[in-house]
Amino acid sequence: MRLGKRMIDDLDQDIREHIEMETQDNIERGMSPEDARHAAMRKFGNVTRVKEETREVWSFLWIEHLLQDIRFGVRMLRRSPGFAAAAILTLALGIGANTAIFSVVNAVLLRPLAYRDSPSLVNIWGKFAKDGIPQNWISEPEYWDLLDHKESFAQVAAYALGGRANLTRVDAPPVQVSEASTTADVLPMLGIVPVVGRNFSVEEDQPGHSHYVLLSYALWESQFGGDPNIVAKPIQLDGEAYSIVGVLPKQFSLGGKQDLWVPLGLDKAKPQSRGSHYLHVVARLKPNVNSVQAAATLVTLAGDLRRAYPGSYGPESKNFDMFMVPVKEQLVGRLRPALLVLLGAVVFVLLIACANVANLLLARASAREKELAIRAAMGAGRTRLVRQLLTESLLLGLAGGLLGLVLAYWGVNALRALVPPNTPRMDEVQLDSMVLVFTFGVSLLTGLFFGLVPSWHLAKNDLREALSEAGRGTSVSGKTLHLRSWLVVSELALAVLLLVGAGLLIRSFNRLLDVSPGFQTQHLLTMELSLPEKTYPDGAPVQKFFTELLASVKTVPGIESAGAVSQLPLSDSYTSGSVFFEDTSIPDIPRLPNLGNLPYMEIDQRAATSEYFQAMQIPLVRGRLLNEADDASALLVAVVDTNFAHRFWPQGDVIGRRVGIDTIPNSNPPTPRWRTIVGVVGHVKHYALDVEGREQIYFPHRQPLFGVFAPRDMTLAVRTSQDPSTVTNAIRERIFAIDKGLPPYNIATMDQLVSTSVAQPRLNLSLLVAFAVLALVLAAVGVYGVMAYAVTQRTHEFGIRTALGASPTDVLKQVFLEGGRLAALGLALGLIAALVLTRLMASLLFGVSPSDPMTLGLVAVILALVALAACYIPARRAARVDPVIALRYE
Amino acid sequence: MSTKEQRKRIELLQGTLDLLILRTLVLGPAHGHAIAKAIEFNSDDVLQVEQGSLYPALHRLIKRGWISAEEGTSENNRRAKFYRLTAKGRRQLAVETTKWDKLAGAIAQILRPAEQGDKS
Repeated sequence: MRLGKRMIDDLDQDIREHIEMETQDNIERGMSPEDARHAAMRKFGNVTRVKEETREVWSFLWIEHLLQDIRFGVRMLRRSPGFAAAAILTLALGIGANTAIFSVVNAVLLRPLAYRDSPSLVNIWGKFAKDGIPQNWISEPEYWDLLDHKESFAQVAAYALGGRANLTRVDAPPVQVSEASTTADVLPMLGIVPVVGRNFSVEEDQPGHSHYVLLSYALWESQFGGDPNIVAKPIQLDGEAYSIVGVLPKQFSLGGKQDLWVPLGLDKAKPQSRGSHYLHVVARLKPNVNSVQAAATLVTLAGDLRRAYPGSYGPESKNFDMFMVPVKEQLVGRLRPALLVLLGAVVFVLLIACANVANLLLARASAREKELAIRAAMGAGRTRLVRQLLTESLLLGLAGGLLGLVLAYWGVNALRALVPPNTPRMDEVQLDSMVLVFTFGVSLLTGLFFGLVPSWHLAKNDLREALSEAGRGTSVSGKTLHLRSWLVVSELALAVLLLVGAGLLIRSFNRLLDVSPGFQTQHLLTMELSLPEKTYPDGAPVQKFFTELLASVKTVPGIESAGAVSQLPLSDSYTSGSVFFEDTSIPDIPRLPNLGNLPYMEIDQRAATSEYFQAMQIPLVRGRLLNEADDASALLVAVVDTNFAHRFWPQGDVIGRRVGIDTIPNSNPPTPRWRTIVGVVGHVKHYALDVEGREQIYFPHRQPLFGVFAPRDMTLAVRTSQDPSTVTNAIRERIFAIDKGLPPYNIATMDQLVSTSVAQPRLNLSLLVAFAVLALVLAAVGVYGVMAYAVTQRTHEFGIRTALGASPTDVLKQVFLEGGRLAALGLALGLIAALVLTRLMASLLFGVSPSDPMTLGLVAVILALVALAACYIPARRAARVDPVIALRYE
Repeated sequence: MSTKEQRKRIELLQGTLDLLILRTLVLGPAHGHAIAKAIEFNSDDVLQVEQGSLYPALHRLIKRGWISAEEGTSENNRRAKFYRLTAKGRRQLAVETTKWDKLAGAIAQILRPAEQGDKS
C-alpha cells in the first residue's frame, strides 16, 4: 500500500509531464503552442477521471466512494425532507406488511418444528376410502403390527387425545381438565425434556400400572402455582390417585391444548378391537430411508392386513390403506393456502410502494438533471453517477426497512391478538434473525428496484443534452411522463388485483354467514359435562343424572328448553361409525362379510336426549322426534337427517326402515341389533359452515349404544328467551346441586361457537381487505402524483388554450380524460391478471367463482371513482390556470 | 476533434491494453508517453488509446508486480517515471500472448466458414 501511496502522490506530476511531452511533440510537428496544448489535452482525455480510475486501482477506494456517496445521499435527502418522508413512509408500509406476514410464514411454514430432527418425523394414518373415511386413527392391533413391521422406521410411538378428567384436590374446587395419553417413548422421541421432573419410564407405561401424570406448563402454573417441588405429589383424577412425575415445557403441544398427560398403558396381550381406531401414531424415518420407500412399506403392510383380517377390513379391494404425513405438514398444512395468498398480497403492496417511490424519484430526477450533468462534466463517470443515485435509493430503502420493522413489530402483536386461538405455532411468531435478514434483503432489493428506474433513465439520456436544455426545465419531460404513466398503470393494475382478491373474500364470507347451520344459533347456551366412570359406573346413574339435571334446568326462569347431545355441532368434537342396513337393495355401498353381507356406510352418530331437537330448533321433516318414552325397555329407535334419508332411500320411504350399529350382546352367530327409524330431521352443519359433512343419525341417550349404556360425556344445549349468558350461573348451581364434584366446561353461547368457526376466514378477509385498501391508497397517490406533475409541466399549454378561448370545463375534461385513460388501462390489465391469479385462491373461496362478475364490476367502479378523485385536484388546478401568468412563466 | 476519424479506429478490448503495455516493455524500460507513442506507432495508428487510460493500466500492472517504476530522465532531459518489465511480468506476457493467440485463432475459425459460405 505504501507503493500505491507513492505512485498516487506522483500521479499529478506524471500526468503533467506526459501532457507536456505530447505538447512538445505537437509543437515539433508545427502546431502553435496553444493548439499543441489543446490537442495534447484532448488526446489525454478527462484528467479527473483518469486520476479517479488510477486511484481506484490501488485502494479500497470503493469504500471511500461508498462513504462519500452515503454522506452525500443523506445530505441530499435532508435537503428535501418532504420527499424523503413520503418515500420512507411509503416503503415502510410496504416493507412492514411484508415483514409481518413473512414472520408468520417463517414461524408457521418454514421453520422446522421444535422437535428433535423434526423433518424425519411423520404421522401414520389409516383410511377407508370407499367408506368415506379419508383419514383414520390407528387401532391398537394395527399399532402392534406397525411395531412388528417397522423396517422403514427407527421408532414408532402412539398417543391419544381428547380425554377428559375431573382433577380434584383436597384444598381446591374440582376442575375439568383435558387429558392426553401417550406411550412412554413419544416424548423422548420428540426430544421433549420436562422443565421439572422427568418423562414417563417404560415401567410406568404398563397396563394396570399407569397412574402417573405429566402436567402441562399452563396447568402447573394455574393450579399448582408453579410449585418447583411438585414431583411425586399425589393428585386425584376422576377419583383415582395419580403421582406427578414432571412438568412439560411451555410451548409443547401435540395439536390442541392438553392439560395433562398420562401413560397409555397398552396391553399387547389384550388389545382393544381392530376396528377401534383412536391412536395417533408418530414415527421417525430411518436415516437411509426416504419417504417414498417408507410410504411403500405402509401400503404393503396395509395389503397384508387386508388379506389377514378380511373381517375387519372387508373384502372390498383397496378400501383400507395406510399412509403417512410429515408431522409439520399435518400441523400447519391447512394454513398454507391462506398464508401464501397473503404473502402474495403484501408483495404486490410492496411493488406498488416501489412504483410510487420510483415515480417520486423520477420527478426529482428531472429537477436534478442539471446537477447531474454538471457533475458528469466535472469528471464523474456515468457509473459513478448511477452509483450515487443507487446509493440514495438504497438509503431510502434501508430507512424504509427500519421504520417497516417498527410497523411490523406492532403488526405482529396485533396479528397475534387476532388469530383464532387454535391456530398452530402462532406463539412461535416473532421478529427473529431470519426475519431481520429477510427485511434487510427486501429493503436492499426494494431500493435497488425503484432506484434502477431513474438510473436507467439517466444512463439512457444524454447528459450533455440535459445540460444545454436544463435551463428551460422541460428537457425530457415527455419521456419521463411516459415512463411515469406506465408506472402508475402498473400500480393501478396491482391494486385492482388486490381489490378483486379482497372482494372475493368478502363475498365468500357473506355467503358463509348466510349459510344456515341447520339450527337456530341465537339464544343458545352450551356447556360440556363429563361424568367420571368411578361415580357413574354404568347406564342407570348416568341417565338418572341427565334426566334429573335437564328437568331441573328447565325450571330456571328464562330457559325455554334444554337438551343434551354427545357431540355438539361446531364444537370441534365428532364421532362417526359404521351403520348397516336391513334393506339389502341399497346400491353402490360396501358390504359386511361377517354380518350377512349387509350393506353399511360410515355415518356421523350422536346420542341425544329427547328435548335436544327443540332446544337446537333442528326442524322435524317427517315422522317424530325422540321422546321420553324411548328408553331401554322400549323399541330401539333412531332419527336420521334429510341427507341420510335422501341418500339411501331416494324414494322417500325411510320411516320404519331398520338399521344397526352393533349386534345383540352375546348373540352367536352375531345377530344385528336393529333400530327402527322413526323420524327425519334437518341436516346440521356439524364441522363448519362451509363443510356439508357426513349423513347423521341420532339415537336416544336412554337406549343402549354398543357396550356403553348412555355416553358419559354430553354437551348441554339450552334455549333461552333472553341473553343466554345470564343463565350460566343458575345452570352451574343446578349441576352442583346434584353433584358437587362435577364442573361444567367449554361454556359458550352458540353464537360464540359460530364466530370461532369462521375466525380463520374472517382473519384472512380482514388482512386482505387491509392490504387492498393500502394498495388502493398508494395507487391513488401515484395517480395524483403523475397527474399533478403532468399539469405542472403543461401549465404553459393550458394557458394558451385558455387564452384561445377554452373554458375551464374543457381543460378539466381534458385532464380527467387523461387520468381516465391511465385508470382504464390499469383496470384492464388488473382484471386480466385477476382472472388468471385469483384461481390460485380458489381454496379460500366459498360459494363464489374466482371470476365472479359482481366482484369484478364493483372493483371496476371503485377503482374508477378513486382514480377520478385523484385526478380532481390537478384537474381543478389546470382549469384555474391564469393565461397571463402561465405565458409569463415561459 | 473529428468524430468520423475516431470511428474508423478500433476500440481496445478490455484487458488488451495490459497485454500491449507488457509487450512494449519487452524492448526495455520506457516512460508513459513513450509507451503510448509506441503502441500507436506499432499498430499504424489503428489502435488509438486515450492516452490517459494508460495510467490506470500502468498502476494496475505495478500493483500486480508485473512491472516496476523508477525515476529517470527522458530523452529531452525531462524528469519522468520509467516502467520496467519484471521477471513475473515477462512470464505473464507469455501466458497472455498464448491466451490471445488461442482467442484470435478461435475467432478466426468461427469467422472463416462464414466467408466460405459467402463464396459458394
